[in-house]
Amino acid sequence: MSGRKKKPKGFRLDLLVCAGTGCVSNRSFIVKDALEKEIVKRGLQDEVRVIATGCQGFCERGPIVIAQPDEIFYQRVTEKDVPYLVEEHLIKGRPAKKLMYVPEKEAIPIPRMSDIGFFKHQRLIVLRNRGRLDPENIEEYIAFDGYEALQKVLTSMTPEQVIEEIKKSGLRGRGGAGFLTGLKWELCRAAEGHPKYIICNGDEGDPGAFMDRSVLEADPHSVIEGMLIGAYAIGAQKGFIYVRKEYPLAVKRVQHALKQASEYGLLGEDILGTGFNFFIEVVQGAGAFVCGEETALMAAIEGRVGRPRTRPPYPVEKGLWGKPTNINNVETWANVPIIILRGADWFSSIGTENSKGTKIFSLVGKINNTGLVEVPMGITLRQIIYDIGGGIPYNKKFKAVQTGGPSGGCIPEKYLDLPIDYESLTEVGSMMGSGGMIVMDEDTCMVDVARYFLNFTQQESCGKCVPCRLGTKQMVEILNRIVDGNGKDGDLELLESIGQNVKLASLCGLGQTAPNPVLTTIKYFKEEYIAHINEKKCPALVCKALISYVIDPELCTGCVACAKNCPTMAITGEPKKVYKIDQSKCIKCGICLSVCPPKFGAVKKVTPAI
Amino acid sequence: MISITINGKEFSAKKGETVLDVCRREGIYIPTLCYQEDLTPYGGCRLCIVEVEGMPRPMTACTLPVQEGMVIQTDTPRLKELRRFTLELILSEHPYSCLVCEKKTDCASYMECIEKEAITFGCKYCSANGNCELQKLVEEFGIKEIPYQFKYRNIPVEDYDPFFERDYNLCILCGRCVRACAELRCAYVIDFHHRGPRTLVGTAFNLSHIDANCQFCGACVDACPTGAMRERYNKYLGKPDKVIKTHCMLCSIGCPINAETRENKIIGTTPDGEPLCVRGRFGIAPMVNHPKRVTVPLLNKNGQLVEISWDDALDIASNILKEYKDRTGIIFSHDLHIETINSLSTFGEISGIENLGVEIQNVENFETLCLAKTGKKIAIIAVNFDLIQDFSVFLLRIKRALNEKPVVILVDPIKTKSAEIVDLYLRPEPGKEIEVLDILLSEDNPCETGGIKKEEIVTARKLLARREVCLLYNPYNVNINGLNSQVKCYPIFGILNFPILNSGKLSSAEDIFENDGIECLYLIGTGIPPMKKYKKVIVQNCFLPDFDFDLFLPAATFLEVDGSFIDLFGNEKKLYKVCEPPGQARADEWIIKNIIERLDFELPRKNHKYHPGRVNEKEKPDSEYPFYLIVRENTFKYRGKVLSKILTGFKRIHHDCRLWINPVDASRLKVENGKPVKVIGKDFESVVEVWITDNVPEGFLFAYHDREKGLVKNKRVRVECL
Ligand SMILES: Cc1cc2nc3c(=O)[nH]c(=O)nc-3n(C[C@H](O)[C@H](O)[C@H](O)COP(=O)(O)O)c2cc1C
Ligand code: SF4
Ligand code: SF4
Ligand code: SF4
Ligand code: SF4
Ligand code: FES
Repeated sequence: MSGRKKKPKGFRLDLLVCAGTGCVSNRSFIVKDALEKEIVKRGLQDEVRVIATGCQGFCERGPIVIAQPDEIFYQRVTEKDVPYLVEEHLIKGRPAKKLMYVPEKEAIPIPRMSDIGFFKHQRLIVLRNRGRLDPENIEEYIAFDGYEALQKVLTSMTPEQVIEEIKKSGLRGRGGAGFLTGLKWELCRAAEGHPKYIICNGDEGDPGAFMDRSVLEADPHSVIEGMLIGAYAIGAQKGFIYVRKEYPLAVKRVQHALKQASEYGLLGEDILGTGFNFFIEVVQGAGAFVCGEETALMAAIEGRVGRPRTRPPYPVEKGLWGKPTNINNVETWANVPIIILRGADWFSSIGTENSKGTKIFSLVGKINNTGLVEVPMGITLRQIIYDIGGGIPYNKKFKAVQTGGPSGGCIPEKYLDLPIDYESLTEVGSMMGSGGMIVMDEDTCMVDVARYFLNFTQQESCGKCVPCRLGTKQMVEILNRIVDGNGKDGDLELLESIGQNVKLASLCGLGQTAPNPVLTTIKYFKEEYIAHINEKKCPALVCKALISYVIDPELCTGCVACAKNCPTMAITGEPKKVYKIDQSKCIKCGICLSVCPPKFGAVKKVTPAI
Repeated sequence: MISITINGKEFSAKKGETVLDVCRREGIYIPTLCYQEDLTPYGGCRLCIVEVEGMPRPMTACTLPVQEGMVIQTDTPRLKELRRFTLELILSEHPYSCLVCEKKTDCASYMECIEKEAITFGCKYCSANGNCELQKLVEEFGIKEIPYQFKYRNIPVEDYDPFFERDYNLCILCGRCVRACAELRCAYVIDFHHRGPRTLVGTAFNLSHIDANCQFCGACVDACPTGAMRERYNKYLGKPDKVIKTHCMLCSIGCPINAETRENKIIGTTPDGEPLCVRGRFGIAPMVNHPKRVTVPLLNKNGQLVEISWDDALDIASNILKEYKDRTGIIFSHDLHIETINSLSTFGEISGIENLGVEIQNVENFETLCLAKTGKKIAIIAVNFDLIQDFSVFLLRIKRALNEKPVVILVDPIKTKSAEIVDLYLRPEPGKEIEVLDILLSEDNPCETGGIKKEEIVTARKLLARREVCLLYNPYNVNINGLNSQVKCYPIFGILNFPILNSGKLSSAEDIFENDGIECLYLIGTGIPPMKKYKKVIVQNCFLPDFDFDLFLPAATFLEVDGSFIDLFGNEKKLYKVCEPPGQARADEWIIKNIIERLDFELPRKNHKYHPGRVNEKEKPDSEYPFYLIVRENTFKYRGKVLSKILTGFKRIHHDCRLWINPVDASRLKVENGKPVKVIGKDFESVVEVWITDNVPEGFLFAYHDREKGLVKNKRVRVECL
């Protein structure tokens, strides 16, 4: 993590307060206000500056404050901590220990950001500016070489050269399918039709994913600059940034950045005096998952219902209003300026043979450090989960990781050392998708997980084509009966065959991938399905219909905690004696288990149900 | 030319064609459900999938544009399996017992099924039985059972609209109806709602079709491959055994229709290449088969109607005509066959024609506007008429003929349904239409005129700017003679056979009614003013009139006789006999010929004068008659009979046998919606049901032309409660 490069003179210290959505919802703005007040109170306003930055990625630990130039990392800072922080760090000149990050299972705090595992193994290209500049100030972006790539392109490169450079870099789309970006641009440039359009896809409908939001919030200008370069290469005059309505901060920052860029002559007519014209409009999406699919998204921009259509014709031939249209993901666009600036060779030196550069993942689930991580392609799952993510909490065992959003596959432990790129993930039945990564531990029931994801995709299916609309519905129905203990012989085979057919016969990417969670869990965790179907057992003790709560008479001390809390009064007994659960009254809410004091641990789950 | 290989054989194709186009042309079978030739391909049913070399997954032929060198397989085992899979999925929520039930053959011959199913649906209960495209495919694939649990969606059947019903439990979401409504009709009444497994077709906010401004054109019904959308009238009448092409004669457009018959009975009419309106699509069969049709000659014997033979009827008719000779008036309606009108003219020049009475010029101009594909940008101003209700087909044809959507402005003091679909609706005070048009079309400074605000005029002028303006008007509803502006005016009205009727030889019905020398009437498709009394009245028609008569001669409809008529554009259109006239009803021509044969003399000829321009006569306000009644041409009529009077569906969509009154006037007079009132003018008195609506301005009343009720022209009246 490099410090602020061109620190304006006069300030001894910068305090960077994270203003990403995660930290803001943890009241980071109140912390910022308090810091400013405290600094004035102490008369330090000419020496110390407080800056609101974009997301730092380590949202779980928010609100985050970073003291520069020493990059001391403070976490979970509250309003009450402010006087202490100012006193220690600013007045006494020593790091405020109590606010530092202490890794799980360790006792010694780590002061420097770059020493923290979560940051140490990351490689920031797209997120290079995260947390180091004020996203609402174009000058800061410019101070970090912003719009230099644009200048270079407009003054010294032909559109063909730009396309050539992007092709050479090997950049592939970060929105899901991983199509070669340079090739897409070339096709769009060559397509007949006028005018041409470009689109930035910031729909990001995957639940739990927020990489695009984060880029738009933390560094909107890098996306705008990428689009400008793309527009020049393709020959487009008009672009759209499609952001979902649920991202008000991203919308605000992008709109603000567009306004500033126009004021600086970087957008609009005759950009930088070169005669190149380009305009960008922000379109706010109404939120369905399927609206992220490119043809549906274009329909939505045109003001129609967001439903996919068949391809070909591809958007590069017939896109918005039937004109050639190039659509790329937010992250793809944000990669463009730095590729131009540092060269295709530099970019292609990072990553694997067919997947170059970095990818941002949103790391969530049963993992110690949740948050956004940007890693080079080719890193292994193990490195992400253990080195960056800090492993699984409570000493639980790792079970699987699901990548690629709700229609990605679940990858088992045996592939933890898989170097990740587009191809390797597809090979094991999952996908890169837009970069969701959900870690699951031993307490996760894979049947239940598969059902959960499939239920999401089937609800979000646009309903246009039969295989997706009805195939996923049948699959959910079968999974429902399996977790309810009504699974039948042949259900597994039926699930598999429907799944394969839905993948083959569906119209758009949603249906073509939706069965992945089911197919991969059947492939890697078949015994769990068989236990559910044949033995009516849920080995992970999750599926309600297949488990029962019981009280171990050896361990029960008759403390009455369970009986007092049971909502259906299913637990009977006498104080100081052994209690018993009446299974016919038990609704399996699990309250008894959670109230039984850990020192007794008398309530247990058993499978199959009694 | 592009060459592609399908199933190992080479074919040439044109750029822009789809693989399905080529296969259809070359007779290569590919199953489809969501595809319909005249609609944009959809790609939703996934049945038309084909294998394309180099593509990882099958592609839908209906949406796949051909490309040089494409190598395609249409019938591999994988495709068969996927198609079968898809069909089985469709069946998992389409009540399918009819399709897979083992007793279906027995059932088809209408034998009772003794087994009781939890939810009963059987082929014989589905109106689409035998007509259903899904049924055909299931048979083709030999599907006997499906590996899934059937799920009945339990969607309430929509049976509250006239003409057709919707049971979306049968819907397979192919989207043909949605596309038909939007693409063929520009109506956008139905669309998809919700997503995922809850996806449904329907109107916005689940309104009834009436409230959603449906035109009831039936394009959606005709598009539906299943029984989800069904015409109510012929739901259980079975499949047609014969289809005969003829024309619709219910208005002056004269659309081509396919008349479907079964056992020599008309069971329905469907479009033949061009769109139809509600009259032509849903009105013809129920009207022709109507139980109230009179099928035997009737004689009025002291107030009692008795059935008589044709011989007697013709004798009586000719005796009456002999007796009254030059005191006889003959009035006929405009929608008879040319042949009938010609045979009537043997009677001499004494005929009066109902509904004629204004001067109309350059009728042929319609064609240049409507059918010539001009590159020009057009703006249409419609004055005083209901484009949607009366001439939806005409508007559609204009829209389709033009490259670019025309701007449509409606100027009409009476608010009709069209007001909601046009680009701008201006509502002048009644009688001020011409003033408003003049200011719209001039370059003078805009100012408030005839109840139209200055801003509205500015908006209208902006819409009209740089467009060629065409003024469409119904000469029966407005007199545009006073218009100062230079603008192309196109009259449009519902009268058929106009060139013959307008030849100058015939006089208007009014002349005959005003002639006190006339004591006997021979009426073919018209009524008499309510206050008038005649010594003898002969009626020749399909339905009984609302007034007293002496003799009734049952006539055939236009589906029951060969013949021809002339449409609005001056084209002669052929009519073919589709079915036999019911009972003893006979063709007009036959009746007239037989009467003439019995007359041993020629009726004397009289020359009646032709009076133009009566409709907009101004009368002085009169405290005795506080209301001004506006009367308009009713294009929902056949042979003088208002369709709403015989078919309830029409009554629900068209308030045409009602007197429209403003709510303020209504509450002052204490009249109630739907109740009859007495309308009294200087020369007539009549009882009419009221419709309270602010579609008509205060101080005015509105009604569609109805001779029998005396509602024939604009005049001052008063209203009395009964
Ligand atoms: C169901 C579905 C949802 C999608 N959602 C997104 C999304 O939220 N953001 C995105 O960039 N791409 C999304 N995509 C991928 C887009 O269709 C498209 O491939 C992508 O925007 C192209 O940009 P890229 O080449 O930069 O990846 C989605 C695709 C499918 C099938
Ligand atoms: S695959 Fe699913 S989301 Fe895509 S078009 Fe078909 S129904 Fe809609
Ligand atoms: S009847 Fe015509 S207007 Fe009405 S919904 Fe169907 S297609 Fe649309
Ligand atoms: S109602 Fe008929 S035409 Fe419309 S989507 Fe359903 S099945 Fe298709
Ligand atoms: S527009 Fe006229 S001719 Fe055509 S279907 Fe309607 S009534 Fe018949
Ligand atoms: S006919 Fe091609 S997908 Fe339905």
